[in-house]
Parts: sequence; C-alpha cells; structure tokens
Amino acid sequence: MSEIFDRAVQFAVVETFENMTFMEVIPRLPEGEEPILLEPQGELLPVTDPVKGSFWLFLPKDLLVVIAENVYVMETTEIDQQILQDTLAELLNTIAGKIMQEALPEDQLFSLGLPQSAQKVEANPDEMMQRWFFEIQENLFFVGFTGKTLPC
Amino acid sequence: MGKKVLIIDDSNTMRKIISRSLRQAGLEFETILEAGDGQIALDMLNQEKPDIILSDINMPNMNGIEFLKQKAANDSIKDIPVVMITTESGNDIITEAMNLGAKGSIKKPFTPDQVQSTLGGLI
Repeated sequence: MSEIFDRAVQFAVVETFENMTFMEVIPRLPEGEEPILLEPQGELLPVTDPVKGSFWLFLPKDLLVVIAENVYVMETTEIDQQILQDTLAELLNTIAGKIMQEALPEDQLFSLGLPQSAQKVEANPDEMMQRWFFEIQENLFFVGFTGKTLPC
Repeated sequence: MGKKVLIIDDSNTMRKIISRSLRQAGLEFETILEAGDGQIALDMLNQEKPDIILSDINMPNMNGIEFLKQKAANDSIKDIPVVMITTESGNDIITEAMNLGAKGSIKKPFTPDQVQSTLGGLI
C-alpha cells in the first residue's frame, strides 16, 4: 500500500470528473460484501514505464450514460455504445495521466499505452491488484491498478 | 466575422469537452471545427483558416508533433497559433512542441480558468 499513490488516485479521480463532467465525486471505502456494479462498463489502460501494469476503470452503465449525456448534450436514445466506450476511454486516459503526474517525482517520465475495452479486472498470478472506490450520485464505481508493483 | 477554432483530437469525447470548456471560459467562437488527427486537420486547413488551433499530441495517423512540423512548412497556415492539450509527462515533449511553434500547452484535466488564461491572449 502506498499513501502517496492512494492520495494521487483520489485527487486524480475527483479532479477529472469535476473538470470533465462537472459531477461531484466522493471517495468510498467498500464495506461488508464486495460491491456489485450493475451492467459494468470497463476499460483498461496499460502502463509501460516506469513500471509495467494496467489501470482499470469500471462504471455502472446507467452512470456512464448520464456522464455521456452531460458531455455530448444528447438524449439517452442518441447515446450509442461507441459514445459510451469513447467516454470511458477518455476518462481513464485522463485519470491515469493525472495519477502518474501526482504520484511520481516531477522529473520522472512515464509512458501509457492505448485504452481498450475490458470485461473484468484481470491480474497475472505474480501481480498485485488494488481498487479504489468512489461514488457519484449514489452510484459506486472504481479505479484499479494491477502490476508487479505500484508505480511509487 | 466571428472567430473560428480548430480542435484536433482523436477522441470525440475530448473534442466535446474542449468545446464546452471554451464556452465556459467565455471564449465565444462562431465556428468550431473538429479533426480526428493531424492529417485530417491539414486537409481541413486547405479550406479553412481558424483563428486558433487546439491539438492533442498522441493521435493515430499523424500526431500533434508531426502536425506542427507540417504546419510550420506551409506558409498559408504557419502563423495560426497552436496550443497543445496533453496528458504527457515531463517537459520534453512540450518543449519540442514549443520549439516547433506551439504557443502554449494545457494539461488534462483542465478547468475553464486554465483555458481562459492560456488562450485568452492568443485570440
């Protein structure tokens, strides 16, 4: 566990959602049973430097639709899967970049891959997995990281 | 005549977010042009002459750095100011962009105030 990384994740997620979607985000500690996201929509983003790993973002579909409606200023019926996936990818791309900027020393370079759709979080046997939960309008979602080690 | 802006980003979502941030920053553009990569932008610039260009760096087909190089070599468009929008780490790539003629940069996620302070003096 890394307090620096925890703070970076929380800051990045709150900043990204507030500035990109104008929605308030509240960090949440999961209590009791594993939270279940309804119709989870997932995306992963590889990290290639300074460590090898992946960021993950999973939102319940209803929440992602609301976010896309806000961003695109469209009715629900006009929001298709391509728009949802693009919205998810851009959110994760921005969150991941911000996390790395906040967590790493200022002169430390980092490199991220291209986002891709994901059905569930997957970690290799020799990798750790950590998730951070958040809430928007009583909808839970999470950001995850998998890899042999955290970036910091 | 109203002002024009060209937004270059391979993400449709990000182009929409940038458009909205421009409005919330109080920067009113009569025309907002959009291009999915540098090559599409160059083709568009044969016909359109925006007052300012906002460009992502990492894009397929032609990235933001290559776009800057091609733009600098074209007398009809080389003087249009460009601001880079990026999640990139470090200053190397931003320095490279500035050396190729970019007038500034904004890191994602950005606030309307950051958009206003970076673009306000360029248009």
